Amino acid sequence: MSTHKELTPLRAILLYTVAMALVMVCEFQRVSSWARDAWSNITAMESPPVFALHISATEGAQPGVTGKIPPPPSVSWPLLDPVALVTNGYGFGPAKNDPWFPAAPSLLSLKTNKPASSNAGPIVAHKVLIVGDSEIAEGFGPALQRELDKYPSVKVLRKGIYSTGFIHQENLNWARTLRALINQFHPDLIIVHLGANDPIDIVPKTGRRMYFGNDQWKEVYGSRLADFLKAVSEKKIMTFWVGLPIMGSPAYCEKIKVLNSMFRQECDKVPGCFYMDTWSALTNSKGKYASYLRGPGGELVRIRAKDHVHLTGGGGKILTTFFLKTASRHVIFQTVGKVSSSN
Amino acid sequence: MFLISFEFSLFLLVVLWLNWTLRGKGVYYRFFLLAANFFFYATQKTGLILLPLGVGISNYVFALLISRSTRQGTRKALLWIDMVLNLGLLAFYKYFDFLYHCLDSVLVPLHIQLPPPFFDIFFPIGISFFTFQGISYCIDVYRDRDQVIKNPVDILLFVSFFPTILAGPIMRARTFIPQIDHPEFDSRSFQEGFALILSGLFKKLVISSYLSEHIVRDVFQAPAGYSSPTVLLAVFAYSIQIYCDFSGYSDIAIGIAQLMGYRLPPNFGMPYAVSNVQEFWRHWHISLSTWLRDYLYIPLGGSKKGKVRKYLNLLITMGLGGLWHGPDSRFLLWGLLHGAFLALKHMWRDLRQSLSADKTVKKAPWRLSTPGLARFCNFGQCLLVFTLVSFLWVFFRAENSARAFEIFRAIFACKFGGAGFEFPVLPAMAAGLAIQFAGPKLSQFYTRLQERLPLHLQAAAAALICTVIIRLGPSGIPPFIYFQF
Repeated sequence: MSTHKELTPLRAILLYTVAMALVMVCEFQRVSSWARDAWSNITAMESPPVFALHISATEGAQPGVTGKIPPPPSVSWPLLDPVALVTNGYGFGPAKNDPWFPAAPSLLSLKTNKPASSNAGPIVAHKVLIVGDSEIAEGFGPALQRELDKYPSVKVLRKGIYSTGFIHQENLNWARTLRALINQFHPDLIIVHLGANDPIDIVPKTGRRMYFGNDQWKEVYGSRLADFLKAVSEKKIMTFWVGLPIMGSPAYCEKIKVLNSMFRQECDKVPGCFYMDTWSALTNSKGKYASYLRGPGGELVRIRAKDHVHLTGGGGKILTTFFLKTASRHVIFQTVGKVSSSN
Repeated sequence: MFLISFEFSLFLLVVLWLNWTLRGKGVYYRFFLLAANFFFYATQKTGLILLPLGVGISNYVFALLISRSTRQGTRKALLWIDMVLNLGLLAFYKYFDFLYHCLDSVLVPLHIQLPPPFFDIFFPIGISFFTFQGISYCIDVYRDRDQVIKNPVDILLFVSFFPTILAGPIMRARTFIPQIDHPEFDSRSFQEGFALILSGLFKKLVISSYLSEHIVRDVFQAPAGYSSPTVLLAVFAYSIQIYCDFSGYSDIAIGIAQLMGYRLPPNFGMPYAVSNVQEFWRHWHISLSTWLRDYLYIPLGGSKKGKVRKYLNLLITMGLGGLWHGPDSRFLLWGLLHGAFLALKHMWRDLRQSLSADKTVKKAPWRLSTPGLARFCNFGQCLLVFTLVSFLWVFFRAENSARAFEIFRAIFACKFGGAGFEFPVLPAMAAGLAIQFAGPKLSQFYTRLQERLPLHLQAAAAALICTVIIRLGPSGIPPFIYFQF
């Protein structure tokens, strides 16, 4: 076989360009999704959207607030992130006599329209399915699994998929994924912790962009949540939706409150599904965001990652303790030979 | 900007075009490359470009002063100041939290509670790599003043070269800087660069991501729920994952550099096909292990100050090499254990040498004369070293030392109940192991094939392989493991 002409710089760049173009054609769906996101980010920067916040009064914010998303805190020195300076306090969580056990809130939301069957006695869980995004892949998920693994009769399947939620359905459809996991594992308890990636606009392939928090966005997002929870209600499996905790950025916090209120609303519609409010589980003694807390021995424990969103191992442990204490009213994890509550 | 992303592929297209248009045009080329480097690094966080800029300028100034100074004492003092500056910067960004916790834990028994740190330090990816490059340049000038570079832009280019700034390979100024002025285009090198990028993509997207997602992460996070064979398999799987992840990154970095006409030193050989720990370090993260050898082990005295001192130097070098990865007891333990095994290897060699020097002792009985048996024993040794290295990786991967011991307990508990693993993990592991042997041959084959094809078929072949790799990979790609160091 004869050797073709050697590459010149021009031909080499042409080779690279054509190869890249071909890959982009083959991966058109991903490329178009990426391009749409990139474009929407650019346009979003030009005109920040106005949206209405309808936050539940139980979450500590003023109901029915309408306004612009507050700008993120300014960063004075580019190499240091002073958010912790603004929001940190030191000391223990809200429950002063028990730093690792902040006061557990009521599981059922106050204005619930949940059927009476939801308030039935505790169930015994043998197969627990934990699903969520990076918070389940790291931090909270592993800590919870480690605790549940201590019960010999409990089998745990944990599925934490990075960068997922209910916005980019084309990448991962959680409703479909949950159905598949239920059919594969047959759990008797499902724990969901999702949503941290979702405070963004929905950009449909055709039609107008839906700004985060507006009525149209809520309608679409709510229908996706309903579809997800339908997988649970179809099989009548007890489900805990672990709400998102406080975040470092005030602007992000406001968005998370919107999401939490939607999770609560949708959970209330499904029998056997409980929304767990964890907002204050990781706050400091002043009820503010904290990157660090002090442990029972007085040691300084980092509870949040440097992005002020994700939990560290220490943070995961606190949220796990909070979860197990709260959930123990409704679920029992049985050990071999004896019955004990989860905590 | 993530190295494996559509935006990076577009960025690289622009860079390649300008690179080959401006190459050889002195000042213009240098400023273009500098701008590309800083633009790339600034996509992490704009202000971070101050770091490579500062490291480059300070090392340039100190190296110049060292080269001009005639008094040995002054030269030494200047070198020390430079090293304190570089290592101080590294310590601030990498070890501040750890040091703060240490101080707090000392004060807690005295009933003094420090407030939590007032700020969170954003970890700049790659700082460990470019500070080490800066230090190596100054030490080289200290050792040989002729190696000084007069043009500060060259030093900035060396420190901030975008293919390597995030995770190496750690370059040396004397091999990189002379290439800036070489305008020749090498067709073969370009094709090899392409092959390396594809190889790196396959290792990262297909093997590393799959193993991470389907066995390693879950088992290492909560080993108690898994059967002992699964935990053991996860330990071996992590060995393969970290090899594919880091060597995959190195392949991509070296490949991109080759597309731009730069030859970088290799960072990996065949680390899991070696018969002792010393050989392993000749094949693993070569640029770091040679850096540690040249700038730490040898200045400590190397093997020139007696046997005991040699073993101690190995322990110190590997211990500090472990701590370079992070301020955690598990990294220190990992490094010290590697140091101990290296020291044992040297002890064994010293013993054999002294025995063979002693004429009264007959030929060692363990020396095998049959080639087949020797090959079998060599295979056994390789397996042993792979197992040993894999077990040591447990300290590297586990969340903390306690979790590492939990993993060992889970292995040796011989528990057969508990969660198992998915079958495709096994072929993925086999492919990860095989690629260290087959990788270079496949790359050669690809290069030769491409040279025989017309341009449009070359592009089609490259695109086809790339698309298959992307399709085999997951939808979300976890970051490279070495970005955290």
